[in-house]
Amino acid sequence: MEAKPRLPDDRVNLPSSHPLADAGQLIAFVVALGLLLFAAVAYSVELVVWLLPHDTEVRLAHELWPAEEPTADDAERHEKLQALVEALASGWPDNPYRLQVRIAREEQPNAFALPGGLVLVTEGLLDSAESENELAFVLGHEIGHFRGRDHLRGLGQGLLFQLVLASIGVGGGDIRLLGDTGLIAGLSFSRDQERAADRFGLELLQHHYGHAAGAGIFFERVASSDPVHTSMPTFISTHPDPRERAAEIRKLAAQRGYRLQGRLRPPL
Amino acid sequence: MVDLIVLLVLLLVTYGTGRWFEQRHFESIRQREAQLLPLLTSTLSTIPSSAPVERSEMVCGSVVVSLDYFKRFIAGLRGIIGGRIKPYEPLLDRARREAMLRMRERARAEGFDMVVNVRLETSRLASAAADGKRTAGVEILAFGTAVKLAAAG
Amino acid sequence: MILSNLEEVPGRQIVEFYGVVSGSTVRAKHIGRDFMAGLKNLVGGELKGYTELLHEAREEALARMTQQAQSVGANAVVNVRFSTSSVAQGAAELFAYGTAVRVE
Repeated sequence: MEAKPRLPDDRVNLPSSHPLADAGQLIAFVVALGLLLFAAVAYSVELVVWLLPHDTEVRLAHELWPAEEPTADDAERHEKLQALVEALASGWPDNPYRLQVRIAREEQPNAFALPGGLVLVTEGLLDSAESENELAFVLGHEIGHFRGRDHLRGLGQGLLFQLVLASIGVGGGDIRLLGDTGLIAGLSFSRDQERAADRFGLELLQHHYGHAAGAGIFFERVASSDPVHTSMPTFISTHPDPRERAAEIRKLAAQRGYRLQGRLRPPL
Repeated sequence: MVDLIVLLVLLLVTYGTGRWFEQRHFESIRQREAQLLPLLTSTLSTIPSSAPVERSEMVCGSVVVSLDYFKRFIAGLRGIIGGRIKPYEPLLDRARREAMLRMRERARAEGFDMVVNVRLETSRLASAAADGKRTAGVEILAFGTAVKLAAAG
Repeated sequence: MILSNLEEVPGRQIVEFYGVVSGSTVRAKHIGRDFMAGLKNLVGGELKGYTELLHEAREEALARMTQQAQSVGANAVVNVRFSTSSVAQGAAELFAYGTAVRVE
């Protein structure tokens, strides 16, 4: 036997495609798969949401968010706020919820609609509102979300997405990024939902005051101020463009014959 | 959104650094393989020569190669959809060849003519920090018997 | 290409000997197989999904080794050995190596 050492072709064990091209393809495929999954989840949640009875929702909510009594110095403001919410809600005759309002100790002006009929407003919102009418519009908007059961849908989507990801074993490290994104996507409402909530807020305002002055002023103020320096950055980032919403409101008011001017009541 | 941008930047940067190390390593490997070509290697236990053996000794070479973020990320995605993890293949190839080269360099340094009955062992070093789930590196060990033939005449 | 895991090809003579050749591939299993494996771990039995996967990977590793052997002009690979190792969670490296020779 004769020894003839030779070097074998080393390209055999190396991939022939460029790693970045391969990575790009892979990422695109996984993203497409993720989107498909998200769509499937959204659709199935849509079906469930309408089937959930209101009293079950209220019961669940009270277990998840145990009621926190407001402190003594807030009590007066809280009473007025509660009265305002209830007065506004009288414009919704089919209201199945016993609406409750809570004040969150946060400087950023914001308002949330939580399952079970809980309306959360921040101290920041109460302080920055220049009239009761403005505040009433924001509250009316949140009540509008309850009517569309938007809060349930968003939460349900977020939760289900997380659940699906966890069940297929994806949950650690960088892939968790996808899960968080899914949750955030679930918490923000769609354009249509926002538009419907704005519309309902407008109706409630008209019903309560006889005019819709609060809505007009609110958006004018938000739209005219520089987005960077506005006093309501959080509110804006979780909602669509204020200029668009202002235009929608004006259009709707004109359609329904609501007046956007009127006497404003002092803030709470 | 910021998280995604950070992720992309990290991926591109680690891809770049990983590739740079890889290219350099491959160049070095190819050079040394060409140099060491006369030093026979075989996985057979028989010696490919009729000349008598002067001395022999077991030699080994090993190397631990680390994974970079880009490779790990791709492996993570492949863990979902399955298939070949292409970035790992050059990694293991160079680790193997490096281990073999080190073994042969050792043999040459000691004055041997060839290495026979070469065996290769691969093992994964798990990261203690991530509960043993993350791979800290891959170790490849090459070992065989180095043989020196008696000089002719 | 003749493959043998003996040190020789039975009935033939090795006339030239070229050196070590190898073929490897790294494969990951997908979520579906993982899920099925999880279920099988409850009831027992063969994990057909994994068997198939590793079989395919091994075939590919052998094919690559054969390709390397061809590139040095060999017509047989003797003393073929396999090595399977875990390189990442849920991924395995299949490695086949042997000595490329010419037999007559």
